[in-house]
Amino acid sequence: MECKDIREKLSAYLEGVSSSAEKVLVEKHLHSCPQCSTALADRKRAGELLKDLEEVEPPAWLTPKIMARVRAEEEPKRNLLHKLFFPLHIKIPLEALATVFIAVVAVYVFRAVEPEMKYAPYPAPAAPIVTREEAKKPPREPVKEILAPQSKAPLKEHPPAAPPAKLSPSAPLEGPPASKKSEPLAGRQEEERKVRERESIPLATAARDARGRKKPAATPMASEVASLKPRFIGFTVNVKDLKIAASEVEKFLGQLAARKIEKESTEGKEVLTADLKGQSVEEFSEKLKAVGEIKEKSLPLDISEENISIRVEIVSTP
Amino acid sequence: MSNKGDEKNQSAVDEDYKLVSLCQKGNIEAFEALVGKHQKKMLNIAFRMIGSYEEACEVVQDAFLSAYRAIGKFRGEARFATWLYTIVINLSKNRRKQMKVQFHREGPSIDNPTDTEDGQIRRDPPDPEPSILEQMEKKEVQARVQKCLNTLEDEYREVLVLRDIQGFSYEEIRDILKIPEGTVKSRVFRARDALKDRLKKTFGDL
Repeated sequence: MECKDIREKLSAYLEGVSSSAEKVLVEKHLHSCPQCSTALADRKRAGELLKDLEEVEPPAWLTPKIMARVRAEEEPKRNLLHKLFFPLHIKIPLEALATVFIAVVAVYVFRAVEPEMKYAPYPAPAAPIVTREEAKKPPREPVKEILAPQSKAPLKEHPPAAPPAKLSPSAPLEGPPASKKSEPLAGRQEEERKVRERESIPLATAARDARGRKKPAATPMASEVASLKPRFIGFTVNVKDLKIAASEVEKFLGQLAARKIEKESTEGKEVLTADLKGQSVEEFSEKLKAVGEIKEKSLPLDISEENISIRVEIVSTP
Repeated sequence: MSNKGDEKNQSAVDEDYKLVSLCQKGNIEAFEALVGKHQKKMLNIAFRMIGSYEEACEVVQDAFLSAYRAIGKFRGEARFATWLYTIVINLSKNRRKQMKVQFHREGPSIDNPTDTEDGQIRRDPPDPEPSILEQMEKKEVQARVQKCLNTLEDEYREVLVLRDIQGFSYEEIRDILKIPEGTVKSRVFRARDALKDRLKKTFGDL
């Protein structure tokens, strides 16, 4: 056998994996061939050198570094999961809390602004009503009478109080007592008007009530409500015969279904007061013209729908 | 003795399976246990395959990361360790290729023996002193053996690393490298022959 063939079998021989026949063959050759014996020794030595290679120890940071990379790999997946499931454990309680908070704030804010919200729409239209009503009533009741009830229910009581202040003792229920001969002081009236104008905004609240009452005036209750606040018209009639004129006027009033007709006689002057329906005022005025020369002292803007207090002064002309 | 060893081996395999199935359910700690268990062998295979400790550490990290990514696909046909070693051997070979490309770009280094154009190591002339091996430090000998190993072709080096250094059986090597057992054997014999020649050229007489 050639050395080349033997050397190919040396590894197997060294490992002890060659067949017994091969083993015998190799051993026989090795005895007679020093080169092949050397080759065998070299292989043995090479194998030993490989086996002698020491193991290296992994650095302490190796496992942590590997795991850091593994976890970094896992991070994006977890982030995705977090986005998907975040609501379950944090988002829902958070949203619930926010909802409760908003509800509480809403209730608090509503309560804080509630009064303004109720009355806010009214002041603008109500304010002119106050001033208009005042403008319509030049003769005013005494200041005391106005100021006193104002704090309670100003507009409910004032309008009826105003006209009969001087002459009508049978003023509507809540009206202030008629002060017979008290001529309103012009100065004080002016002052009082200013006060009321200043107060027109606070009065808005009360004006609302007034409006509330005014509206149903068109309903069947109208006359009753209207009787509470008649307007005032004053007439001065110059006649020759006081007595005849007075009785004529009284008759006219009776024909026109006037109520609360009262007659007051003074020297050279007859004064008649009565409550007349608005639509009859014009007729009454026409009839008066037949009695004598008349002067209209004042006329309300809208006389058709209200009871009007009529005051007729019959003065004899020489 | 061998029976005891087999039992120990078997219990380790069973433990691996448990850990692997935990990993597949998303248990990272189980994977950490597997890393701790196998990293030393992985590192030594990579180190002997590549010849550089630092590079070997990098390769082991990459190998474990690849294993983690693919652990869902591990069905247990082979032992988990065998599966890991296949990964580290392949990554080590890839790293060597990368290093060669890098080396050609950057030029030869004085420290590392290199392949010449004809595939042979460029080496110092053989030492005239026959017993120089005995005079050398143990570490120096090991470094030189490693250098010789580095100059071998991949297919020789990998079988030597697995068979003579790590001591795997031919069956295990067959499973790791996925080549027939007969091929493994003949490759191991030829690899030793080749290494012996390199060693002789490096050390003179062995």
